[in-house]
Order: sequence, then structure tokens, then C-alpha cells
Amino acid sequence: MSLPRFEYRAPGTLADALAVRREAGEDALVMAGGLTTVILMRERLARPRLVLSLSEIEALRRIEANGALSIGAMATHAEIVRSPAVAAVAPLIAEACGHVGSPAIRNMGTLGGNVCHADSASDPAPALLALDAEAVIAGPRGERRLPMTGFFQGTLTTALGGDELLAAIRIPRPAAGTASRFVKYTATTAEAFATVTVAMTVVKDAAGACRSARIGLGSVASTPIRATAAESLLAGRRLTREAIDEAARAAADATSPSSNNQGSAGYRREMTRVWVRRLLEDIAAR
Amino acid sequence: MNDSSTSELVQRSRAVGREVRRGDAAEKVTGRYAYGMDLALPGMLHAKVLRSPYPHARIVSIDTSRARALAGVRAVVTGDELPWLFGSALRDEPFLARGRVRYAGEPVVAIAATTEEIAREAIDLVDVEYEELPAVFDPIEAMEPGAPVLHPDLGSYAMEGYYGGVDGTNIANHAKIRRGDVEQGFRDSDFVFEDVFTTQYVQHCSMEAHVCAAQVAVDGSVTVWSSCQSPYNFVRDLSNALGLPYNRVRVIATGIGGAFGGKMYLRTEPLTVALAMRTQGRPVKYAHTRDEEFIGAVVKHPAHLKFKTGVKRDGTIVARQITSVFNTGGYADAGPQVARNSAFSGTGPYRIPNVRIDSYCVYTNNPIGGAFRGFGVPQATWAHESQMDMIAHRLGIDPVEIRRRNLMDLGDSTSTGEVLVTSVGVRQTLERAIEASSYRTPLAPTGDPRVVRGRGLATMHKLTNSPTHSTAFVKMHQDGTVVLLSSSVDLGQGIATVLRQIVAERLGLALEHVSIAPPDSHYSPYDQSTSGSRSVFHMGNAVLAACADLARRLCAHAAPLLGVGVERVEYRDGGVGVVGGDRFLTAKAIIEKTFGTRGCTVHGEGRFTPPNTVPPDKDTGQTPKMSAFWMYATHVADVEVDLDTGRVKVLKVVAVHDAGTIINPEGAVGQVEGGVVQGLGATLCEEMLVADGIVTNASFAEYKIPTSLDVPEIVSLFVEAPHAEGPYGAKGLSEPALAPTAPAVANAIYNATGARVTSLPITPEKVLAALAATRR
Amino acid sequence: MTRHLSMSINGEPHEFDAADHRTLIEVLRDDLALTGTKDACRQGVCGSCTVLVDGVAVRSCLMLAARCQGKSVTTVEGLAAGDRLSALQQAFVEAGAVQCGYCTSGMLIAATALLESNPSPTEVEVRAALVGNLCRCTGYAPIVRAVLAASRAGAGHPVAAVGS
Repeated sequence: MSLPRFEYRAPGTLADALAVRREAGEDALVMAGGLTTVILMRERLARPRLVLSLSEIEALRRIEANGALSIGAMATHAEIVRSPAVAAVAPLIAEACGHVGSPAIRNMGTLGGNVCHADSASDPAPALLALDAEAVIAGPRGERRLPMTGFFQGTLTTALGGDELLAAIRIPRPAAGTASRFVKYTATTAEAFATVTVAMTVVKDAAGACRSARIGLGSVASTPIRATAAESLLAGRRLTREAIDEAARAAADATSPSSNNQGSAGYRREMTRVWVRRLLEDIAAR
Repeated sequence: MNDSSTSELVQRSRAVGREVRRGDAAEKVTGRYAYGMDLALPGMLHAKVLRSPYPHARIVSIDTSRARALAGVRAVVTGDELPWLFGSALRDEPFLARGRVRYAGEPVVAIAATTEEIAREAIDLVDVEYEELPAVFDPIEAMEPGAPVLHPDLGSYAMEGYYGGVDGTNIANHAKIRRGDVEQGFRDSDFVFEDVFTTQYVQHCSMEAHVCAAQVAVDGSVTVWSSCQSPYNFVRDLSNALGLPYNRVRVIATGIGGAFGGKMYLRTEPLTVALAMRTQGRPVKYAHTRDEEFIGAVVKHPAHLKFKTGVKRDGTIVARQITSVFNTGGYADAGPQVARNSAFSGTGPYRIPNVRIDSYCVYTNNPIGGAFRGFGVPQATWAHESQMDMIAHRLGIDPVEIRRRNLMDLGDSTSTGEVLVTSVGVRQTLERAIEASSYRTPLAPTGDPRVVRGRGLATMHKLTNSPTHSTAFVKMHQDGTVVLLSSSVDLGQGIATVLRQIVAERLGLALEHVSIAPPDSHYSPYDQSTSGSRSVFHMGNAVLAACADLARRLCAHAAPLLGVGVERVEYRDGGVGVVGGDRFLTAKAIIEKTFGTRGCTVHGEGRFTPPNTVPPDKDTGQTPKMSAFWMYATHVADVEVDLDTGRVKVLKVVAVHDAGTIINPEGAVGQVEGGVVQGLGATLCEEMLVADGIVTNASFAEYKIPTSLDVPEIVSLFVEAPHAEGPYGAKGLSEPALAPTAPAVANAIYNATGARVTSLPITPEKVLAALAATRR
Repeated sequence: MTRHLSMSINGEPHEFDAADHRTLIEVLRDDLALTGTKDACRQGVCGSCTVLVDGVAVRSCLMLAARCQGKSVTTVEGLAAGDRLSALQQAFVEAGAVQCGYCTSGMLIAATALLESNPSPTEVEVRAALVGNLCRCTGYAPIVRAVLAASRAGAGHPVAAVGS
């Protein structure tokens, strides 16, 4: 089925893109990789007058590691998976991006486009939460940074202003001794929306106790969420069976899933418990 | 069992039983093969359809004026303008909804425009006012008194002889089997077990969606191009609906991207023809979008199957009573046939002397249930093979032993009263599957106590609808090469190649000297349809008969040229020779000497009707010969179950089939491998979710079919019990390939965990619930 | 808005006008009669419409034609050299990897992209590369066999036999 008519604009610089966004306002739909946006238009869930494509802004594709890791909003999942800089600083995000859709989708889809839809089922989002990532946001008054925890605001809603664009994702270099784990659990096929996605980073001390932990969860609330109660339970404790079970239960309690073809609410909550437990067990056994 | 003459034939063959590549593969890998979706006709318009958002509603008003005014719109049509009803078993469906919609997704308004984009835009300009009516979604509730009756006119619909709805109810058909005395059988049993099994909505998910085009001539003659399984079903059903003589309805089968039963009967065509009647001769094309495939094509019927089985202590089955209910949605489509066909397989391939089966096809305000590979038999197999294992475990008998004790052999009778006299390879499929799967060797444990393994098996039988007819023409050019005209449609299963192999074999020609013409009801002769695993057997035989007829004519031409009487010549090696002598003329020489070198063609025609098959009695289901042949299969599945998540991973499936002689080994393996994977989809991950009549996962993003990473190792083997009447001993294969998979997996899960799931699909959640039930 | 686009398609330069809202699949199939690229879901899920843009496999149903300005597009029609099949196409024919054939174009493009970046994939790598290409007929095994066979034929590296 064809798309509704619109005017296509693909400026070459971020400044020009911001100008178009400001001038077009609500009439513009920002297109990154063009996956969700094209489907929204095809389904007539969006009928913009103007499509603002960021595809021609080379600067937004850059992946750099100078201390922290910076991933341009227009870097594709495939580029992130292949990036030596990502592998060196935060392989967790490469693993997560490797679970997005299928190869051709990873060639088209971008990290920026993915997080800007604030889709609960985003594969990389839980990893970004676990990695304490920040959104680097460009706007008419310059650049601002916002922790990803605050970026996801509600169902398909982000903290991005109507005159702003996501420029990059900044991921701090994890502390030495950080273990990270990721799982995308699907209840149907290998290529499906997740029943639950769990990403975690655990910083262990020399004795093997958990100094701190960050747990990101996907597909179990209206947005990607952090399991903060579980993180608190783990901080400063040895990863005993009891501590792990408590944290897993706390993570499950933090969810508010809905029921769909990937599982009922109760099942998704239970799977959150199972997979948080399994990932923690794996880290404890290391 | 072994027919030695058949085996010898195969050993001597040039083409039959040989590895032969399918004829259209090169066209397909280069992207040149033309599918229905690729059809482009001069002046062609594009159609879009407005569908009902409500499962049951009265249409109060339709305002199409704004749509009609849009530039580029060429035709707008609503149901009130169309007096006709169509349907295969009973004519219950209007071309577009008339006054009332009976399912969400029912076509209400159709629009043809110069581009697909304009048609889509015009749809948004139509205003329809509905008044919602009380709806019924559960077929068992729909059978109860007081339920909203969807078709008050049921009694007045035209019906095909065998089928009968119950006037004033939602029962579109009630099929019965009565054999022996089931009550006495239960009294004679040591144990009687009653279990309920259910199956879900499964969509065919042909990669090519339904698509057709229609053009209407000044005299009203209709030409339809359709990506369909049966041009002659379409000619019959369209002609009957429109009241047109059959010669004025021409149906051309286009290249087709998968069907699996979903393209057997009219679906997109009636409304497209209605539009084409309003475009002054311009052809109209209508292609389903993927979501229309889910909401507006047909789906595999969900079934509720109550099995009551009486057994002796040693596992011998004495009696079985089945009550099954098939949810056929707003219109019957193939539902009456599917529900009836399911009954014929209710006993499984077992001797059961006392049988009582009532199979109901019931209207609800849900999407339309239609034909789906297996035609009701996968539903029955799910129930009888799950219950077979449950009974074995209750009695403490080995699942293999209980089957061995009850399996049918030559000379046994089916529940429909047919004494089996040829090609009963079911026992061989079981024994071969046990051997090939190393059934008695336990699976190695995973090493993780939370992930356990198990093995299960299931067997099955299936008939083919009988009697049905196939006809074929062969045309020999003056150079001795041949073109076959047949209405069997190559859906991807490879029938075109198999039929070419049969011609090449019978006429002693090289395969490349046999071509096949595309099915077109104006040229290729009658075939009932490409369905029911019937084509190799029926069309294969018709093609053999046509070849024999051609050979006879060539002999008649050759005899005077050879200077002997016609009784002294024979067709051999691509020409005609004197019996017992060396004198021989090639076909080319015969035609050119008879007709001159400027050219002529020689023809043969053939028809096949399976001998002695009789439709079953309407009240008892009994007949001396129900089916042209019976197909058999046994599958063994090895699975791994994650006890924490309930996720099931199938490690391996050994699939053993008795399809008679295998004519094209590559094609046969392809049917089984593809069938098993389709079966695994229906077992584990596929379910079209329908909430109060609304499909909630009408896309490939949310309705998940197996991917390349979801499929196990599949070992496909054939026992080849040749059929006395089959072409070179062949029977059929396609449908059984997916039927035993689901119960084999369920039985393997039980073997691994002690948990029993009785409803499809076997989701991880159901496995967890069944595991919890074992702990209670 | 309509704009003038130029791009290389299967090695040939093409120039045409296309409205901004047109997708690559529509331009290929409807305007250029390159119907080998198949239309099956229009959601990017099934893979039937996969093409290469500058050598990278993408979904033509989700790709705006305007984004392909100046780029090089390869469709299934561009895989053979005239009537001479590529090693991969030949392997599909010989392995029985084609039934209805509607997924075949996308499968071939996805597999071409795989072999380009990884000439000797393992069976699991082949399956992972094809996970976004749905097939309803074959059960995938012959397709996987074909890709592995083509990899052997093309790269000359020995590869373990496919198990299924």
C-alpha cells in the first residue's frame, strides 16, 4: 500500500535540520532509518506534510570513543555491531543492537531512531539504561544532555522537545570489573518482539561482592524501565542465591506488563524474574 | 504388498523416480517468473475495499458520493447493487455485504481507480453508518438456543447435495459417522476415557497474498486472472452465482506464490468482477494487503474436539465417540467439507469396531474458516494421537505398543466401512520411524537440570475427497515433441514437473521435449482442483490415459505406413514399431508422412475417475469405498523443554510417509520438510488471535511463522507401499506432512516432563501451567 | 513533490521522476517493471522485497526512492550475467531451494550480501543471515544447503555438510 503524499527534505547539516524542524513544527515527521516512520505513514497513523530525513547528515553517523563512547544518532545497528570502538567500551550495546529485527533491518535502523520511538519493546534501550547512557540533544539553544532514564517518558513519548533532535548517545566507560549481560527472550520465534528483554551491568569488588548494579528491562512496562529496587537490593551484597532471588523478585515487581501475543502480563512478569535471576547467577558464577 | 511390476517400471524409468529439477526454477531465481501480483494488463484499474470494523452489524446507510467525486475513481460498488450469492458447499455469501455484516473485515464497498493510491484515498471518503447487533463468537454458544442466528435464510441457500445446514440455527453442516454400537462398545470396555482437545486459528501465510484481475466483455463474458488453486472451481462457482453459462466465464490461473488450501475457492474475485462490470471493459486488479490476508481471506478452523474412547485393559480400542465443533465464522466457505473430512479421520489409522462421530460446522461472527492443508485432518490427528498417548500412560502400556496393537492392515475396515485392499503402509511408517529415530535409545541429558529432553511419536491417516475427476490433453507437434494441457496448478509443490515426468516416461521422450501449458479454463480441460493431495494420483492417471490415447492415434496413422494392420503395431521409444519386429517410424516421420511437412498435430485425451468410490451415506457416513487412496505417516519428535520458561525447542523430527511410489524424490522431500515446518508453526508459535471478533495480530510482525533459526533437523523417509491404481504406484503426500507433527511434539513434551498440553498452540505459558498441574 | 532521481540499477544508469512519497519497491515494480522484487508484507518483516543499495541489503518497501538518489541498486534481476546464473542462483536450482519461489528473490539477495561479507559461513551463520526472510514452502533446509553449496563453489573453502 502506498504512503500518503508528503514533501521530503534531507538537509546535510544538523543546523539546517534544526532550522527545518523549527520552521515546520508539528507538520514535520523526523525520519532516521525510516522503519517505524514509513510503517506509521503506511498505516495512516501519521500524515505529515513534510518528512525531515537525517540520512544525509554525515556527522550523525559517527561512533567515537574518547573516554566515553559516543554513538551518533544515525549510526545503524549493523554499524554499531561491527564497531571496534563499541566493542572496546560497551560490548553490551553491540550485543543488544545485534538482536534488533534481522540483518536488513539492522542495516537500515538506527540507534537514534530506535530510542526516539520510546518503544517498550526496543532491544537496545534496556542496555542503554544498564550502561547509564545519556542522550545528547541538539536544539535551538545548543546542546543538552539527559540521562536515558529521563528520556523515556511514556508510551511512544520522549523528553525531546518539538524543536530538538537527538544527536548522539553517550555511554560512560564502565568501571573496571564490570560484568554485563543481555538477553532478549522471545516466546514465539527467533525473530519476534521480546516477551522480556533484560540488560544488566554489575560492578564487583575484589572479593566478588556486588558493589553496584544497573538493570534495564524492556517489553514489561509502557516504556523501557530500570529495576531500581532490585539494584538497591544488590548493592553491597554478595551474590548469594538468596540475594539473587530477592533481586529477581524485586525486578519482576517493578514491571507493569500488558498481555499480547508475546505473553500474558503474568507470564512476562514471571519471565522477568527468571531471566534476571539467570543473568545474575551467570555473573555470580563467573 | 510390493507390486513387482511397478518396481520394475520404476527401475527401468527415464524420468519417474529420478532426481529431476523443477522446470520453473531458473525463471524463479532470476525474478522473471510472473505471479498474479505481477500482472499488468493494458488499461488496468486498481481496486481497494472498505471492510467492516464490526463483527456483527446492520448497515444503516452508505454514502459513496465523495469517493465517486474523486478524480481517477472509475467505479464504486456496494452490496445493494449485487443480487448474487456465492459459495462452494452452500451459496451463503454476497459479493459485498448486503444490509448486514457478519464478521469484522467483511467487504462493504469496493472502489476501482486509475491508481492503487487513488483507490486507497477514495476508501477514506466513504461514510458507512452501522448499528451493532448482538454477536456470538464461541461456536458452542452459537449452537445453543437463543444465540443470535447469523443466517436466517440458511434453509433457502443453494447447497451441494451432500451438505445440510440446520435451518433456524447456526449449524452450517452436521456430518455423522455411525458404525457398530458405540454404547455397547463402552459397556464392553474395561476403561472409558473422555478428553477434550482444541486447536487455534492458523493463517496460511502464503508469501503471495490473494490477488486477481477481472475483465468483462460487451456481451457480459467474464475473464478472471487469479492466483488460485482451481480454475474450474472458480468457473463453476462464479457461473452459478452470476447465472452465466460456463463458456462465458474464463478463469486463467496465474503464477502463484503459495496456497496451502487458502486459494481453493472464490475470495477476492466476486467483488473484482462486480467492479469490472462497471468499467466499460477496463480490467480491474485487486490484491490483498497482508493484513487483509489475516482478516479477510480464510483461516484454518479452530476446533473443539471431545473424544470418548473405550479400551480393553491391553489397550485394544473398542469404541470411540467424537463430538467436534468447527468454528467457520461469518460464512461457510469450505467449512462444511472441512468439518466432515475431519470426521473421516477421527478414529486415526486404527481398527475401531464401534464409532459414533458428530462433526458440526458452526457460524459465528468471526473470520471465515476455510480449506487449509490437511482439510480438518490435522485437527483430528491432534486429538486422536494425543489421546492415544494419554491412554497408553493411564494403562501403563508403551505408546508404540498400543499403536501396534490397534493399527489397520490390509483387509481391515475404516470407520466409514471401507475394506482396505491396497497400499496400507501405516505399520511400515511406524516401524521405520522407530528405527530411524533410534526411538529406544534415550536422549542424552542436557547437563542443566532445568532443561529436560523427551521423545514422542504420532501417526495418522488421511483420505482424498472421492470421487473427483481429472482430465488432460496431450498435443504432439510434428517434430514429435509434446505439450501437456492440464488444469493442475503448480502452487510450488512441483506438480508441473511431475506431470512432465509422467509424459516423458510414458511416451519415451526426453523431459525437455515435454512442455506444460498454464492452466486456463478456455484451453486446459477439467480438473476438480489442486487440493487434497490428489493431483499426482488423479491427474497423473489422466495424463497416462491421454498419452495412451495419443499413442493409439499414432499407431493408427503408422500402421498403413508400415504396411501392416493396426493390431500388429505398438507405440515404443518415441515412435511406432511393428510388434516383434525391427520396422519402426519415429513420431515425426509418422506425422510428416501422414500430413505432409507443412505440419499438423496429433492429440490424445484422458480422463481419470477413481474406480468404485462412492460418496458416504449422509446419515451414517458409510460407503463401500470412501477414498481413491489413503495416505499414512508417522513422525517422531525430539524436544527440549526449559522448565523455568516453558519454552520448547524441537531438536529433530523424523518423518516417515507412505505416499506410494515416489515420482520426484527432490519434490517429495521438499513437501515433507516444508510440511513439518508448517506443522511446527501450528504446534508452537502460530495463532491468529481474535478478541470479540477482531483480529489483534494481523501482521507478520505479530503473527509469527517459523524462521530459518527456528527449525530443527528433519529426516524425511518414504516407505513406498505402491498403490495398485496409482500412476506407477503413486498416491499423494502434501497434507499428511504437517498432521502428526503437533501431537508428536506434545507427546515428547509429556515424555520429557510429565506435563500434558491439550490445546494448540503449545505456548510456553501453557507448558508452565501444565507443569504446575503435575505438581498439584 | 516530485523530484528527478538518478541511480544505477543493476549496473545501468537510470533517470526518472518520482514523487517524494514513493518507496523503492513501488518505483522498481510499478515504474521500471522490475517485478522480480516481491511485495508481500510492506512492513519490512518478510524479506521478500530485499534489495542491495550500495551493496547493503535493505527492505525496498521501507526505503524511500528519494533516499536512493545517486546510489547503486541491485535487484534479483541483476544477479545473473545475462542468462548465465550466479553460483548462488545455480545452487538454488540444484538444491531444490525453490518451491513457490515468492521468497526466492529476497533470499538470493540476503544470501548474496552474506557471501559478500562472509564467503565461508557456517550453517548457523547462514540461518542467522536469513532469519528476516520468511519462506512458507521449503522449511528452509534446502535454502541453507544451497547457500552453503554456493559458498563452497564460490570461495573454494571446505565447509561442513549441513545437518538438516
